[in-house]
Amino acid sequence: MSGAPTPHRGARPHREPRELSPELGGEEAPGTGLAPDPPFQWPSGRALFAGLALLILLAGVAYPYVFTVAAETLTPATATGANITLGENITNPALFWLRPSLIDFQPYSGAGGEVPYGPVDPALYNQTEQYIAEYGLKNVSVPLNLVSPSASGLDPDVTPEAALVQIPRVAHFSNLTQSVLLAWVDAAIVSPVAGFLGPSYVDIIALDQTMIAHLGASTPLDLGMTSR
Amino acid sequence: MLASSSLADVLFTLGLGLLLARWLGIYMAKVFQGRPTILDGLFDPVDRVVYGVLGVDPRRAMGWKEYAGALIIANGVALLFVFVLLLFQGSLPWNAFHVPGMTWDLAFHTASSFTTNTDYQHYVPEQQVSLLSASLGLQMLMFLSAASGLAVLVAFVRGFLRKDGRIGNFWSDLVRCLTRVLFPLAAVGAIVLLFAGVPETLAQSVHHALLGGGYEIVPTGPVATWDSIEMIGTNGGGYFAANAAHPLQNPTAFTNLVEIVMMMLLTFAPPFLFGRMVKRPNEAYPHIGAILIIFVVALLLLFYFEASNPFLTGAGVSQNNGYFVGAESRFSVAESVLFQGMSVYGNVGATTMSLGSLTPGAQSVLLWGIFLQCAPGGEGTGFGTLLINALLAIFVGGLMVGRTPEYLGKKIGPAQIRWAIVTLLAHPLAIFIPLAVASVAGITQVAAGPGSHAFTVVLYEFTSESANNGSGMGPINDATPFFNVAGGIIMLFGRFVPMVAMLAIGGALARQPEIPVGPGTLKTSSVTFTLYLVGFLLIVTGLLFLPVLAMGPFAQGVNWP
Repeated sequence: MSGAPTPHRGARPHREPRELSPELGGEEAPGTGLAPDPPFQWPSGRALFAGLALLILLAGVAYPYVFTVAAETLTPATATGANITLGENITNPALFWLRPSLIDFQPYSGAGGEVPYGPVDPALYNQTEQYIAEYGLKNVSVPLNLVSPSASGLDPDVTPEAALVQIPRVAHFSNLTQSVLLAWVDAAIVSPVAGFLGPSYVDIIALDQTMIAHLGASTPLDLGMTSR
Repeated sequence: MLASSSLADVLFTLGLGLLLARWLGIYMAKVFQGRPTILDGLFDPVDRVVYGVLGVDPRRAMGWKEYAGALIIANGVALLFVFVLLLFQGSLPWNAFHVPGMTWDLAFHTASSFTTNTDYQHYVPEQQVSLLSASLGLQMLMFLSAASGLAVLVAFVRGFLRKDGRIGNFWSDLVRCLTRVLFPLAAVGAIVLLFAGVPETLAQSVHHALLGGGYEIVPTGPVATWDSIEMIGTNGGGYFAANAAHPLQNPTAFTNLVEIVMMMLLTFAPPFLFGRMVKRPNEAYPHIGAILIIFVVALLLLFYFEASNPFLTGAGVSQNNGYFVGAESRFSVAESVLFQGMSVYGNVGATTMSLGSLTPGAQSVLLWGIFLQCAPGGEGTGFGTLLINALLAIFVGGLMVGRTPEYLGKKIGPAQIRWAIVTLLAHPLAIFIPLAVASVAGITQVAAGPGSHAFTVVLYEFTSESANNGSGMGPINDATPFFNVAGGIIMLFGRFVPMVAMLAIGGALARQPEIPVGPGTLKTSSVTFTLYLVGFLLIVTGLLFLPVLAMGPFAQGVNWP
């Protein structure tokens, strides 16, 4: 029972039945008067500044510091975020491609991949058609996922359909058979967490690592990718 | 419909969030009434030390004016501190990338934004704040603003309980909210996020290996702790510009679920807290019912509108998995939409999608949520707004059917109605005046371009600021002195005017004696009242805001096939 105001008992003895508030227009029956306005006191400077200093110390310093130490001991593998897959610019036609990035996959751009078109802007329509052309997918039914910018601009994944639709191109440039690629895509599909959280999607970075490991050893393909 | 493929995850997330929120509401009712809880042994000594340092007497119950004064001055001091911190961060430590100090207008906007629980970001986190500013300044404000919102709600609700005109002690409410609710929840949330793979480090960047060999430098930081209080405190400002769409801040569908549940905790708990505090647990149900009816219908509409964008049909794309423009692949579109709906309707403001490219229907639904502000609305203030609307509804309804306008044994008099109207009108005024200025003076066109989409974007910006939501719709160049200054003022107005009104109504109620239940009393814990409250909210909001919805997203939708 520290701290909080105690429930009030006997708080009414000094009420004055005649003191009717103008707020009730004096229509109240006698005997139901209002309590008087409590006295006013300014907050003390000590409470304000000591409170702020304490909060800065706890919320600003202790909280992130304690958990950084916790992360280094409990989850060292993921503490820095270096392990998290991020999208990057992949242009080699023998590899699987990611979705277009409005920030060109620059992690410091800070634009956050904000899509610069409204939903019925002709520019959105034209841009989508241009992406379809760039991905060499005219006259096929293209999954929108592959030819639409993501929210972060760093999306490292695509839907399974968006990986499958690339197989003819990848097969052509990598001299691998479509059935081999199909098996690799299947292997790179990430299933829903616990069977129901999240969609099935393809981790393109993992898939292309498999591709590079294979192609780098057996073919003279130039794998010169734009690396930042 | 979109949800059919992933109905299980949506229902599971909502169910889990509601269960935890109910438990939390009951716990918080004990905390704020000083009833014993199992954690007292741990926190009583802590609280005593804090009160000693502050030199305050937690037992001194305040009148509403004193409570409001302490609230505003304490928030003002913190705002000033962060304003100065942001101005001079360039010459302060913990600044590995030599981030320069902010301009005064951007510093004003940012400090106001985090003080008011809005967290609208006109700055680019990766480029324009140092780790020092982010931790000591912004993260500190995320705790303070969340605690302030809850304190105001609790003081407001005490008006129904007390008869001596006093609504509690501000310092006691603030401290108990921080030590017994926010810090423990944020700590648990951060632990869960850590184990789910969210980074937490005091390093400010990390080398990230690239496919073709070599590496790139990626910004990082104490993301898990930031993320936790961002969601739990309904703050919503991202550690990264991409916010919850960024793979480091929301790496998997599991973290997405955790973050949605964290947003639900303190937004859905207040009705239960209210029911327990006024000792009529059933009174929680009309409120939770009204919130759920509006929120679930909004979600269904969002699922429907984001299932596809017919405007792109001719381009030869298939939208079997949903309208993916501006959404991430590791979440289904339904999960992204659930996050976004919760974030906007709960006035959190975190984003996992690019709002500007959502379909016109979805944009209208999101705008509707921040017009309402109370389904469920931001923590504390959201439910406070709902209570004010309920008072108005009872007043109007009572007059229509010839019942005494009273609620839970307290008369709804002119003072309460006056302040309720102030709250009701503050929101549209704070939106329409700057919107009219920006549109007539050509500022809208310069910042966002021509047409109804640009109008929608600027409408969304001011609405988000006035509602203290903080999500932004693009594209807009709003890091300008006009938008910074106007935005800062709108956020402060949209935060503290309703807060003062809530405290004033609480204070007026607290001075009244209790009226016994009579035959003329309107029964409020009923299905009828729940539906009436929903209708009241929709009609009032529609009357205030349909015209601007017509000029913005509806006008865009005219071109929608």
